[in-house]
Amino acid sequence: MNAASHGHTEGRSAGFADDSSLVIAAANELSAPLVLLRQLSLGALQGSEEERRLLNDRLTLTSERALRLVASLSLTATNQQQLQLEPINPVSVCQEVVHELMPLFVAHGQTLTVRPRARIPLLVGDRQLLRQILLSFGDNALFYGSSEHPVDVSIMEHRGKVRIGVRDFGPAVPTNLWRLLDERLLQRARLPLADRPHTSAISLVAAKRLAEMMGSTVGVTRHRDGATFYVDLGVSGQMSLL
Amino acid sequence: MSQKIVVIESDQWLGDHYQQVLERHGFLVERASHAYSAIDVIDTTIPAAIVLNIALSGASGIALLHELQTYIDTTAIPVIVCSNLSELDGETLRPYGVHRVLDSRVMRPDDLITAIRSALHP
Repeated sequence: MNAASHGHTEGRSAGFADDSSLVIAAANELSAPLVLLRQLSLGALQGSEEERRLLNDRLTLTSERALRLVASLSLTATNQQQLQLEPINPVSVCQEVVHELMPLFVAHGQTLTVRPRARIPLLVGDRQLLRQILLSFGDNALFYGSSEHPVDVSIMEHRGKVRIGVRDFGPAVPTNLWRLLDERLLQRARLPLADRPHTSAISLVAAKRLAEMMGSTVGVTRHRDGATFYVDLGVSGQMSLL
Repeated sequence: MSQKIVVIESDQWLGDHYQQVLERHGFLVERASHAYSAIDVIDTTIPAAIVLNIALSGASGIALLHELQTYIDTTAIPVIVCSNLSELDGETLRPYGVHRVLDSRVMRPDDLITAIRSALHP
């Protein structure tokens, strides 16, 4: 299957930033979890056994989150020939992602759910890349849910594609988000989104790249009370087993 | 009587850590997760000092410093900035009431306590 990039919903005027600007942005962004790890580990030297256990859990979850970002960035360098485009059951991928992220969400008093529509067809994609995109969206939604409005992974058919979206209830995002991030990368400007300090801009840039490697697209839908970050993938020609 | 410190840190776990360190040394801590909500906390608390993470608060952190300098009851509150932005330095931020800038990449828990005590008892 041809995995050439399709046009992005926002257009591609800015193009990809060069590798050095990506490295600078990644280094800047990864310093935050590293600072947190260092401070937490210093804190673990003191305190009660219960406090140390809590810090230990936080150290583990923080390092896992940072490693997911590193994994996303590494995968952007995947050779096109190494991609394994195959029919994928989107529900099982989403359940894997939710399972992986749930401890982090629980540790922050949040919940993450999967909400598949009925009769979802198989999609075509690279399972590892798709997982990484959804993990990025999930990580970015971490602080933007509540007990009344949990972060929600939805799967639906949309204009002949399978759309997997991560719905949050955070502050507004610009509609031209990825173009904006690409432009900032090219200018080597700071990436964090002012209204969403917990959002990893570099992971969104990486998610877009991973999607384009599979010939799919990412996008964001603005809601009155949040946003849905989604990836659209082609429907498999194989008969759906769902 | 314990002195009150307002910690403005958008990372919940890093904020918890600073709070724990400060409380271990006898300070009372109030928290705010970003610069905007910090205004209310500072207004009601009138703390002895403020610990602010500018890196995570972005431009709003600088806006908060401006705001604090605008009012007579907040202009004298010393601010300790914890940041991993290498371009920040104490001299640049001193006009904004910043007593010290701590580099969170290398600081240790005791550094925060030392900086606050130095701000409170210059």
